[in-house]
Amino acid sequence: MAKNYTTPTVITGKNTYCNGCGHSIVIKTICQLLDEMNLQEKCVIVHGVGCCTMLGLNGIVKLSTMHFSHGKTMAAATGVARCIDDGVLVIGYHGDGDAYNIGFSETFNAGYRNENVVDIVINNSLYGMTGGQMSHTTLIGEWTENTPEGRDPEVTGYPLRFPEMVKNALPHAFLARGGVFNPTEVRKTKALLKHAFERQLSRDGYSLVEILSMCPTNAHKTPLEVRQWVEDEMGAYYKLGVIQEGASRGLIENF
Amino acid sequence: MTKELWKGDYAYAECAIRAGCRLFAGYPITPTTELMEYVATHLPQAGGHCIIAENEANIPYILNGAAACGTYAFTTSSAPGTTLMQEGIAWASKYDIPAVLLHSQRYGGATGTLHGEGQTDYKRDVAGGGHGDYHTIVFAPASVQECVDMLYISWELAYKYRIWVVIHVGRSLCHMYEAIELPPAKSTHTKPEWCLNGKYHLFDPMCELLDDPTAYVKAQQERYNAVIDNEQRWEAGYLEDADYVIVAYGIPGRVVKKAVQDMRAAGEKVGFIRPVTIWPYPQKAFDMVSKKVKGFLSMEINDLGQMKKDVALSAKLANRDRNVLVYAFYRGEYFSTEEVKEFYGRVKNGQFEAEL
Repeated sequence: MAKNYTTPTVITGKNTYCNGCGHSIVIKTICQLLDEMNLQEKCVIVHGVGCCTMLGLNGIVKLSTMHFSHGKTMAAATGVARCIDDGVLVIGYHGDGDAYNIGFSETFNAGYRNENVVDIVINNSLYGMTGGQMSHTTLIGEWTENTPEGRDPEVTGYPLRFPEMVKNALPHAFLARGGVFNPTEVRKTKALLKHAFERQLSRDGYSLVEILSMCPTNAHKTPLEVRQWVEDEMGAYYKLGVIQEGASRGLIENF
Repeated sequence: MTKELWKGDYAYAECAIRAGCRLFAGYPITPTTELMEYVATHLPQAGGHCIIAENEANIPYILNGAAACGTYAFTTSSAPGTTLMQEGIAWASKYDIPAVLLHSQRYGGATGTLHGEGQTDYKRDVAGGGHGDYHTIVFAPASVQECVDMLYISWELAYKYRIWVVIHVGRSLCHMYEAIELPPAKSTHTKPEWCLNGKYHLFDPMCELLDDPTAYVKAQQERYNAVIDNEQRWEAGYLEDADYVIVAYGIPGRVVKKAVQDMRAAGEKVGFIRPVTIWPYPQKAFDMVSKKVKGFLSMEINDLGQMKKDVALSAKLANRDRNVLVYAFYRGEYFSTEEVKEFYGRVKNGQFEAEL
């Protein structure tokens, strides 16, 4: 049976992202879910600083959004999640730099307190908005603006697998990694996001869905080339799928 | 109502709950730790959230998220912690998000000291330590009762003007006990229509006014001018015929008031102004001073003199036709009424040079 694809209702503005950027796909996916789950008027997206900022400030979506300083996304999402009306989905939306570098403490501590939020981290292995500098998720040997010889882990540390790192400390958290580099993965990522949304609406606490994403501009590749690079190179280092299905709320004996 | 003996920290925590605060985020730091401890016990019982935050830098953002939902949000810290909070307070000003900070200074920089009183963060609290063009209302109470009274109305004012309110006190007002009357518990406030509720809502005034950027600037200027016109607070006495007026705030303000009362009884033509808001600075009090005043004496407890410039500015604004001199006394520890009188005597006898 033919399926009718339409633009999600809440996407009302012009897409200001680069051609081939993963943000466009993720935002579309989120908006599809909001339509399917009837949450267009029951959602607050707190976004950070970076290319993610365009989500709220460029009028792309007709959703409730809030914008705070670099790294503070999940701290603000904590405040919103505690005080917003019941049944409103609270999403943090930021890149790997905002989430894992400058926002490491905020991102971790929202999970540590098991706040009722969904944390969506767009991992493109670098700081995009500022022109492509190394972030915690830059791969070994990867060229960036400030690792022109390729990332040397002996000097800069090894690429960070955040969900894997925190799972033992965050027993309640749903931790997963998806990707938007081919249609199959986009569908799987949509399912991961849907599960995260449902957990939050059941007040099950914190979810983090990291999404491997393309940045053709700062990879200095064509959209097709970078999508292959994300699938092959990032996909080899950052494993896809559910990393932890968190325990339901309640005391965990013998933690 | 009968008075009760309350420790400052506990009184302010109880007052905040009665004023309708329902989200507090805090971090342990002397001398405000006990305030958080009281909140941790009592706020959840009142249906609120007490978040033990991981560091001070994140706290204003937790508050901003809560306040964006229309919740009365509160935090407290001392100088090394409030320094970390400056970005979040400044950031809130761009989005018109209102919350309240009680800042209890210690004397000195870095870790500071815990044994003395200090007014070493006057310039930072008044100017604001974050980037951008913004102000916060800054109260400078001089007693536990006054601090309770100012805190009780802080959220109303914060929401009225949509800016943060800072209560600027010293260590002693957190730890001392005074007999006070606590205000009654308020019923829940109505959430304003601008707050988040899940529906599409443009929470960036700048975006709304991008068609006419000058409108944004005008709105900001009008807002802060309204605060300056309406929210100056002070206590003053003996201004109409004063030759000299002594200006001090906080606990030093109480010392000055007593010294001035003593000197008046002895026939000296001296007055006092005790600012209760240090932003907006109480220009109206200076405007009430005799136009024949010979000079202003500024007294504060820090090493370099910070309030003296504001005294000089206010003196100038109140006396446009001549240069009224300002004599500045500043020292990093309490002074006594005797020392106030001695300072005044030296100024009057021409033995103390006017600094400004």
